[in-house]
Amino acid sequence: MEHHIGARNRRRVEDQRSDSELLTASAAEPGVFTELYRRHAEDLLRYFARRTLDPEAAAELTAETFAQAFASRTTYRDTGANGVAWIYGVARHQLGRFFRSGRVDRAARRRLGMPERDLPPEDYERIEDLVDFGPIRGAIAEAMETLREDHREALRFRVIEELSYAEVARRLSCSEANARQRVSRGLRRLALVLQEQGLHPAVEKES
Amino acid sequence: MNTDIEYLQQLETDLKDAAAREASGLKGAATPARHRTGQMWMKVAGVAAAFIVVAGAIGFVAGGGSDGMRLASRDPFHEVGDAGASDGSGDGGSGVAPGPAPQASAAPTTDGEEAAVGGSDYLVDVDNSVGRQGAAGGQQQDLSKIVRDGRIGIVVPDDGFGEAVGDLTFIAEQHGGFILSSDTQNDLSGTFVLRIPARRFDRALADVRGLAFRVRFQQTRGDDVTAEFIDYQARLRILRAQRALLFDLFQQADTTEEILRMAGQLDDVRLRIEQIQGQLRFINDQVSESTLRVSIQERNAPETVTETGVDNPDLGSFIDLAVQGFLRIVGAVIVGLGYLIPFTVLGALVWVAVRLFRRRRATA
Repeated sequence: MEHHIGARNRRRVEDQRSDSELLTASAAEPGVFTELYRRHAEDLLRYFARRTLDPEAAAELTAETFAQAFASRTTYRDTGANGVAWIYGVARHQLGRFFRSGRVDRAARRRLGMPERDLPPEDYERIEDLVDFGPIRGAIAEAMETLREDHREALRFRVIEELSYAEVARRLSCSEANARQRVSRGLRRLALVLQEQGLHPAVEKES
Repeated sequence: MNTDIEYLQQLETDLKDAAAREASGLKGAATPARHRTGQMWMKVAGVAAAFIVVAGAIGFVAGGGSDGMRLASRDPFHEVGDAGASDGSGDGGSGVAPGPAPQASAAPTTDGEEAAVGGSDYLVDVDNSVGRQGAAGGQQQDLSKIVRDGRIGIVVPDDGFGEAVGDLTFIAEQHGGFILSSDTQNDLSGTFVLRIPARRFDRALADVRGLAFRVRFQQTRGDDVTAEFIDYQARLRILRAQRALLFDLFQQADTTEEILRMAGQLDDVRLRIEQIQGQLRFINDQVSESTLRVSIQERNAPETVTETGVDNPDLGSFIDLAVQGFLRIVGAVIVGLGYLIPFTVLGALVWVAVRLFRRRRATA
């Protein structure tokens, strides 16, 4: 399920500094941190999406990770490694907490006064497109047996049969938003089950 | 960032806003992480302080309040307020707990050193103080030395000052004591210093209370000088042995030079012995007789100015009280921790169990 991320026509002068330099500079100039975000937000979202299989959780984890990294940026010390590795360290920590508790922390966003945002409906499919379900489809089919009936049905239509959300909603006789929610919850539980079984859906190399 | 994912665009805006907020508040402020670290430590310190306060409160209650805690230590200082104090019970001695009965300790123990006080002859030197104490044999002799004194302020009825002074004189004589000094103002009020045999101190104090229409204040204290007394005794024994040795050498001296040198050393030792004997005598006097300062005033007499100057505050006793208070609080905290820690551990175990249960339920 490949999806092309459309480019936005935005004229912006690229900052030539390295990630480490940006992180260090952001301690005194908070605005610099957004350049790091522009560079790595989508990669990080993909990182989370492939591990959680849940667009909602992936989006929230991305937000929380950047919020946490922004709040802790003054603790960053340039040791020669790429600065983005530090951000992925924060990401791994957030992911671990998510798998332990089954929910995404909101503390950093709250502390920074960032609003809680719902995932727009159209983003579900865009984020799912970041996940390559191909290699793990077999594992998912097995793990799906452990899910609730309504979640299992929604996942089967969406992930196995690759139907659109409109079609999933029609078959489940529910609204499209409800269909998205069922798929999202089902994927989240699925990711947790796979995590417990030691099956990591993502096989990508981290930055 | 080139992306169609609206959520990420919103998030970028939110981060920009957060950065702008922080940039505006950054000047002169601590860095965010440090600030948060400070806040975290403030929270930790707050929780720890609350824990200690709760432990102290529990310890205080568990120890039976201040009275219970006081039982654990010797309280040489006892003060009774005027309200409801004039019961005539004469229990002023309760301040000296749990020490030996003052009457017993106050009896002057005429040790051997007193026999030698008047003796200037080197040969009159028998250290029998130890022998006497040892001769007590199976009898448990009280060797403690406690100096007691006190002060009391009483109000007498109008036109009753003269009668009260007469009664006070009678009380002093009745208990084998005397009025050491007096200071009166307009025959309406005055301050008197009584010297009373220590064994009669409590009874005399009770009798003075009996004169009162109202007791304004009462304060008694006992200073245990036993250690000081024993120290002087030991030094006295050593000096006497030294004197005996020097006397032997003095008798064996052949040359004039040796005789003069020995005589000088003997004089020096004798002087030191007399000084210590004087100290021992002073302690015995202090122990055998107590000082009672009595302030008497008629009901409508103006406040006496001299009263405040009668007994200057003893800074040392306040420091002692402060140290005792601190130690009581520490003791209460330790006792409270003994109660609190098991409950805290139990609570932590329950919390961990609940978290594990929730996590498993979340992954189920």
